[in-house]
Amino acid sequence: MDNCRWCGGFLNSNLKIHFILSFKPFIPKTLCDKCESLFTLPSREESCVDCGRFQASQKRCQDCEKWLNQKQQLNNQALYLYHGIIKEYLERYKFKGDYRLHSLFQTRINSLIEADELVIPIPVTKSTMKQRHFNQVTGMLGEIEFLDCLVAKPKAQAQSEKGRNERINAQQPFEINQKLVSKIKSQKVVLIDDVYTTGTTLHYAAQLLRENGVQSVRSITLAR
Amino acid sequence: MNQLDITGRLLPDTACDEMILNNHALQFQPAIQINHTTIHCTRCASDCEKAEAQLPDETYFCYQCFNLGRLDSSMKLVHLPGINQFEVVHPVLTWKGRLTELQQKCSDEVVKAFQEHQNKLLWAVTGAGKTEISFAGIAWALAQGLRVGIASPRVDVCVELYPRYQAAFANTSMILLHGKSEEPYQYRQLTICTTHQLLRFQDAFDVLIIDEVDAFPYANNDSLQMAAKRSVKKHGSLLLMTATPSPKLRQQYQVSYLPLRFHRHLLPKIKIHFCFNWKRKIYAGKIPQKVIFKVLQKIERQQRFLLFVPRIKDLQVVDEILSKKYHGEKCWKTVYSADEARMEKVQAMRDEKVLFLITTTILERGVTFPGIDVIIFGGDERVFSVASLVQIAGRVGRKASRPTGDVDCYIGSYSSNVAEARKQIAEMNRKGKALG
Ligand SMILES: [Zn+2]
Ligand SMILES: [Zn+2]
Ligand SMILES: [Zn+2]
Repeated sequence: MDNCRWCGGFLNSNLKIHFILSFKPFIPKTLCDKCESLFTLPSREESCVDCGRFQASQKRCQDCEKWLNQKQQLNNQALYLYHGIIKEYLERYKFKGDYRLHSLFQTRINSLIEADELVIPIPVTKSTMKQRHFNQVTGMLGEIEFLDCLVAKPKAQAQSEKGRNERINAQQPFEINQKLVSKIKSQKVVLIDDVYTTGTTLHYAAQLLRENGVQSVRSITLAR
Repeated sequence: MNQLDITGRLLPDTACDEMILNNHALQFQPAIQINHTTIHCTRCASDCEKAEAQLPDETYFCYQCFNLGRLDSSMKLVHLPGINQFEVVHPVLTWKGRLTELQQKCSDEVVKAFQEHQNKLLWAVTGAGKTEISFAGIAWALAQGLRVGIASPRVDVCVELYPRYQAAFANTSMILLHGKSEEPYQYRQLTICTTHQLLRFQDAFDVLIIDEVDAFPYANNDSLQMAAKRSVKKHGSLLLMTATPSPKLRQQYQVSYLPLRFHRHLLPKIKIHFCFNWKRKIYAGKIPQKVIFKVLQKIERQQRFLLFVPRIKDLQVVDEILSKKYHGEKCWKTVYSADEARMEKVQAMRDEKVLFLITTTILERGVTFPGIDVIIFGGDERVFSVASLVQIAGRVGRKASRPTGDVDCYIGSYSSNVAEARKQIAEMNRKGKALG
């Protein structure tokens, strides 16, 4: 790799002597210095304690108050705001499908995961998979180990179930892969998704995992 | 969507309706060919490294023509050979202008080339009236019910050409296609588009004109050149137009040559001024006094102009210094290729809302602002190729009522590009004089 994955410019990956002497593991660069600085993480001091929404205080935000009232607390950590360069990134990677950009944030996501946590990605539907040929969430995880135990129901099916089953179940967009259900029992789970918008998706996934016997659930998203 | 929307096109099957796909006349080919270490894209004819192009489910995508919508190895490209189904409304040519004797000669040669299914290079100096010269040939083709394409590597050029062709062929259906326009594709007798859009055509045009054929990114881009050839029908004609053809182009094609401007005045010469340390100055965030003086003088005289700088990052330096040195209300804007507001800024210049633009080679050609001068700052930098310098100088003196103007070029050393550009202008003026 001699080109920056974002701007396509030349990558100067010469090892500097002080780096070699530092005995740190060498991680090959994927971004040039200029683009690296574009993707600088925002400071995380002022954000909602639950969902990671960036706001003026560290109090729980209104959305999360609502979830709490429904006894569905979920702690989410977001790396970035869904804005500017990250919006552009997801447009190119997820919607247009430039898979070369999949692992740009692997290291940053990895640094937020604890050693004893089980990583579970939010899945995409079969029809999305057929068209996109990848799940943007597992793509983002890169080399990070995960358990792909959630299955996204087709959108149409989720609709038609309405009225037949109880309301909450009709809206539940996921199912558990029964073959893997034993592997999640009593685990500390961290759910991964690309964007946290209203939190609905992650809350449904968390609820389903709790019903299937996990010890705890929290979540990490690239953007909020 | 109907079958006309796909005739002469090369589209992924995923973009077509089920009904269209059932047409027996359709031709299918795999979008991506998988080879040993690379993949080959049928649409853009590029090779991609397998390792880079791989998707996790063992399909591959082309990252070269990605911006036109991702093609992957699970797709097929669909094509329906070009059919012409146009209603010809007379008069086809609604342009009321008249050609000069010299323009007429080139125009006749173009008509003849189209009639005889020949390819041709129209080499006409800046301001010779290439567009008007092309009208008669296009009118002939349209009147025969043939399909015509006009493409340029530069989106600005397409945007400027479109209303001119609309006025000249007011009874003909046409469409403008480029990456920044929202308008969806439609089957039209006359298509004006960027050369990138040609990647979506195959055997479509009976006549294809490529304006500013030596401009970036078309020149030296095998993929775009392949697309241009592929978009022309087997017995169609390709007309290339430019003021600055490379020696290679001049050899490859039969040439129609016009060395004199439509108003019969000679091309403005490039005046050089030495600023031996301009490079060191700009690194230190400064620009030579001479350049500042020239700019202030033009502002003083309310003379409209373009100020060319070598690099995008120089724009800001020059902008800041001028803001400090000039105390009146800011009367300029900076423009570069990836500038979001590029089209608006060019329009502001056209509407005389600003006195001048500070820009890079992106505005070297295609765009015409009547009665302007130009200043080239750092003309000895390599980005100013011979063709660039000739084109930039060619922005000046385009109006019959102001057929001259100043081209001031500030250099640190007398580079071979500057010398060659001056030589070419002198040569064309010598030939022009002999005709005029
Ligand atoms: Zn970069
Ligand atoms: Zn919150
Ligand atoms: Zn391609």
